[in-house]
Amino acid sequence: MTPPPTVPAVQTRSLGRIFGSMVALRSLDLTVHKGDLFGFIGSNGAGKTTTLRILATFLTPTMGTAEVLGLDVVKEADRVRHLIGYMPDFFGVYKDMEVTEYLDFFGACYKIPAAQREKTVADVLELVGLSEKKGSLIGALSRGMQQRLGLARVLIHDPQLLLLDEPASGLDPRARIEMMAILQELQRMGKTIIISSHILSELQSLCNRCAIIERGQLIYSGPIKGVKVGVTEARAFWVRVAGAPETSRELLLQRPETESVESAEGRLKVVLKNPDDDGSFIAETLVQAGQRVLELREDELGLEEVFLRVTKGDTQ
Amino acid sequence: MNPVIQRELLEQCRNPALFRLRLISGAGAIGALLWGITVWAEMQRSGNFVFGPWGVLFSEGGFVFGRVQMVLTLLILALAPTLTADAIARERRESTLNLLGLTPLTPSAVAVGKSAANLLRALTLWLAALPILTVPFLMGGVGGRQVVEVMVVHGVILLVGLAAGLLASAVSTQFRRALALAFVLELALLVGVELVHMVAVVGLQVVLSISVPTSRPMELSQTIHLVSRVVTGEVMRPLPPGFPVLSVGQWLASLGCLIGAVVLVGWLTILTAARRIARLWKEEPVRPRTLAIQRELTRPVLFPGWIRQQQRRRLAQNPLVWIQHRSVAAALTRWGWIFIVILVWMLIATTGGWMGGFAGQWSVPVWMAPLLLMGGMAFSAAGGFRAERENGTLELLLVTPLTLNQLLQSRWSSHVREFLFPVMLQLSLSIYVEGLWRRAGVDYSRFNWWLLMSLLTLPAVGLWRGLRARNFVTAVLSTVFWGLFLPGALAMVVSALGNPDYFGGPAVLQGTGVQFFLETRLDWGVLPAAVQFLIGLVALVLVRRELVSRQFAHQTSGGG
Repeated sequence: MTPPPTVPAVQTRSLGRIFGSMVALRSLDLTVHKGDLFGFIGSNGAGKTTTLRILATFLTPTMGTAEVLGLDVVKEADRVRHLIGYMPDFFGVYKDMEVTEYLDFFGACYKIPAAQREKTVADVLELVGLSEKKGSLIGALSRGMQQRLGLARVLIHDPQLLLLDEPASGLDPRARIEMMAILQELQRMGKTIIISSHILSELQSLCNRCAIIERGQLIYSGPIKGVKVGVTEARAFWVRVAGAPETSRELLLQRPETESVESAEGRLKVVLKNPDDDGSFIAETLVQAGQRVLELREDELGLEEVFLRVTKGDTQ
Repeated sequence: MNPVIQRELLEQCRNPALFRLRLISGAGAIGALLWGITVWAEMQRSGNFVFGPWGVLFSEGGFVFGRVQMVLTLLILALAPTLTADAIARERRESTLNLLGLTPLTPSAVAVGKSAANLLRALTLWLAALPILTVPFLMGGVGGRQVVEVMVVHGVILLVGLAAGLLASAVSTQFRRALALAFVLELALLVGVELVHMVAVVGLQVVLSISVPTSRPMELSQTIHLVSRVVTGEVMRPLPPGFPVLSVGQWLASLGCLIGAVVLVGWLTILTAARRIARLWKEEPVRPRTLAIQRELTRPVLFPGWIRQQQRRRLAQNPLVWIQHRSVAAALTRWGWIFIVILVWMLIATTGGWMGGFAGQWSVPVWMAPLLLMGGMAFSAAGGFRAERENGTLELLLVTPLTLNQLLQSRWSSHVREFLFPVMLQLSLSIYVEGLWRRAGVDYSRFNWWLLMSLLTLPAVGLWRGLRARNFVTAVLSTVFWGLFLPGALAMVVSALGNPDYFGGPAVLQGTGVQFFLETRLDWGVLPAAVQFLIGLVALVLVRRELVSRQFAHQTSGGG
């Protein structure tokens, strides 16, 4: 007996959106699974915000379809709105309101009963670390705190899917790290999160899957590791040994698995012929020859470098 | 040259809004000229002088002059604060004010630079309309004194308006709030000018031992009296008995004091704005006292428990009505307009004795207060979705489970509620006074119809234009055009078609049912109300379509 097909959190088919004469999004096929922390990467004007706005039911697509947890975002927009939490790339706050009033207001907009709202507001404030600021005027909060408040608003109706557009933009390093920790906690709680960001190094450590988009077209969608494999021309390892590296270089060059060995800043970069090779021969060869290995690690491409390699830098 | 002036002038050269404002200024003057001539011709033909026996003293040019300069004065009153209300606020929003603080420029240089550049801009607007003012002068009957008085009043209002806008701009970062504050400050500064003028005139009398041939020497200095005569188009009307007739020397001395008073008040205002800029450069945090005041303004004073319970109930029923009701701006609008209506009636009651008897005096609040209220409604409604559009909350509200109809209905009803009490107060006072008039055969009830319908329709028109227009001033002006001017103009055209006098022969609609209807029941106050109703309905449909298309979102942020 075949198991029932799992409904993806997000599925778009040939999704497109045109603004006047500008094609913001063209034939986007995207799938995000439940429980994913999904990074959405692209240059300015690539179509990330448009995609998120369509998924949030704010914009309607010009062509194609988009489904959130099996519901069409156009035909069943009302039901979709209960399931998603959307945080745009601006604050969207009433600065003359108190923190609790603001959350209470949006709780009422999502039709949460009054008796339940008070506890929900307290819970989400606790989750984003703003409990101490509950009586403060929003205008008096720092940028980082307003960003947290935005996240609290997104969570007020306990959505299953979070659509976060640049949630860490403009935050200081500490606030960014704290924001990322909150997102990881939310993923552990079972939320699916789509996050668009320009800070790729953070997405690399945060997300399990990602999509890269350029000029409204999807370039890659899948696991983070997959995109690196796709653009890596050859597998390489960095080696540091005690003493002069020349002997080690000679030893490694004699191995058939080795393509080349370069010396740089007192270390050796060993490039392998076969990308499927696990590189274990490096340590084996050097130890057997009596060399003391101080460091051995794979030369991994950063997401930023991957992004630069797979995109052409075109904007629209 | 002050680099701020240079930059401002360069920016103005590239700003199409300035050309539009010049166009409005010129078109307003031409429209006023045509209106003045039409009304004068109509009065001549029918022998029906609206203002009773005083009318016979008006010469052709004098009457038209009074009307044209009245429109110009109202335009200056409305446009002068608009020119400067975003001068500093915009620099703050775009974070360029702090960059100026890093240069050797002083806060005073920035404030003076902004004022001087906008004064030049305002003068170009005034010059665009000036040629029209010469037409009634050439028609004859306009004295040199009246011309000088009008010029001085224009100058006073212009300087006061610019200074008020500058100060408001230094206080608020939002253009909408700055503009509202600027209008309030404009009135307050006019009162300030009046006080300084009075002190100056009395001081001059004492120092120079000038004897004033009247038992009421204070009347020499009545700036508000002079301004109100200009604003109401009555500058040509002779003063009633009992008012002092000034010699040329006394008259010049009084005007000189007035000019001195406005320069002093303007200078003090610019200095205050400069001090505010200096504080902004220091980036001082919001004072605890300011925060406490904000809190107090939104905290219920009487029956707090019951009011909070009501607010919770309202929040549960419709959060959008709740949020509009709780804001400080809404409370200030509500109570502020009640205050303004009372103020207009009190001012006219206490200072309007020169307006030609009972009917002349009391007719002013009956038309002036509704016009002010309608302007306020247009201003408020045009900003209805504006703040949410600017701070991004409109996008958030549109992805909540609230329906578009809920959003529209709640926002419309919120605007109606804001003005409900002031409008009811105005209608009550107006109906009471009209009851007294009816014995004299004077009927001003058309303003009541117009006001009532404006209360219902302007919110819809304003919401529509607020979403459509790219900037707030355009939104307000187009709300006034669609919601007030167009219905009035259409009604006048239809009335003219049914009136043989306008075309010197049989009326276009002569003998038709429409003519009978126009002559018997519909005067030009009810007709615009009917047109307003239709435009209001269409506006509701259009604002809904705007929200569905999300066109406003592409204007601000585009697709990314």
